[in-house]
Amino acid sequence: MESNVEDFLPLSPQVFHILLALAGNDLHGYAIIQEVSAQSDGEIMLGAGTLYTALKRLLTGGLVEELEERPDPALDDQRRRYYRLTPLGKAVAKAEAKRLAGLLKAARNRRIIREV
Amino acid sequence: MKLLNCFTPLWKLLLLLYPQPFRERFGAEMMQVLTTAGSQQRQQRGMAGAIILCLTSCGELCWCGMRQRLEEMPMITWLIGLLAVACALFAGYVDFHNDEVQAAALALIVSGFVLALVRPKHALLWTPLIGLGIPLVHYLGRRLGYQPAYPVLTSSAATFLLPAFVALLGAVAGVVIRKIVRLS
Repeated sequence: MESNVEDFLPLSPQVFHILLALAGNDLHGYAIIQEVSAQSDGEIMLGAGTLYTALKRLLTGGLVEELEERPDPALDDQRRRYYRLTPLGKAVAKAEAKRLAGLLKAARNRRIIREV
Repeated sequence: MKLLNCFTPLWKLLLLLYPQPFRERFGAEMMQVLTTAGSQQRQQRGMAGAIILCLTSCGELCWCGMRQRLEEMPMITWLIGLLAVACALFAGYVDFHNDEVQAAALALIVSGFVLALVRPKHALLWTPLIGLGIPLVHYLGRRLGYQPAYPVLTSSAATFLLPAFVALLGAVAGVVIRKIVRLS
C-alpha cells in the first residue's frame, strides 16, 4: 500500500483540499466547494469544472468513493451525489501532509519562515 | 433570477466540450452545482457578483472541458494529429517550392483523403489543420530569409481557407470511400 500511496504524490493544492474536506464528512459537490473555501480562508474557490475533473481522477484512483444512498427527494436535490474518502485516500492525504510538514521544517531551518 | 437562468443553456452547451462518458457521469451534478453557486452568490454579493461568478464558470468549463477531452483522447487520435501536422508541413513545403498550384493541391487532397479514411470521425478536424500548413510554411520560410517560388499573402484569410477547402474535398472523398467499404 505504501508504494501505492507514493504514486499519488505530490498532490495539487486543490486535490489536497478536496481530500481534507472529505476527511471530515461525506459531502456532495457544492458542499465540497464550500468546505474547501472555508478551510483555505477563501483562497481556493473551486469551480464546477475543476472540482469534477479532480473528483473523476480521485474516483478512478480509488481515493474517493461515491455513496450508494441517494438523498431523499423531499429534503435534497436528487442530482446530488455524496462522496466519501476511502482508506487509500486517507493514507494519501496523510502522506501529503507529512511531505508538506517536511518542507515546512526545512524552510524553518533555513529561516525562510519563522516558527508560528 | 431570470438573468441567471440565461446561463443554464450556455452551461449545458459548454458541457458538450467534455467527453460523453464524463458528461453522462457528472453533467447533472455539475449543472446542480453551477445553479446553486449562482443563486448563493446572488444572495451574498448581489446580482453583479452572481453574474461575474457565472461568467467565470463559463471560462472554467471551457478550459477544463478541453483539458478533459485532450486527456481522454485515444493514442491513435494523437498519432493521426501528428500525421496531419506532418501532411500540412509537407503541403506547405511543396507549395513553397512550386509556382504551379497542382502539386500542392494534390498534396492537400491526398492528405485529407488519407486522414479521413483512417479516422473519418475527426475528418473535419484535420482539414483546417492541413489548411494551415501553406500559410505557416510561407510565413516561416520568409522569416528565415527564403524566397518562395511565388508570393503568397500570409495575412489573407483566403490563403488558409482555400487550402482547407481543397483538403476538405479529399476528406469528403475519404469519408465516402470508408462508408462504402464498411457497407460492402
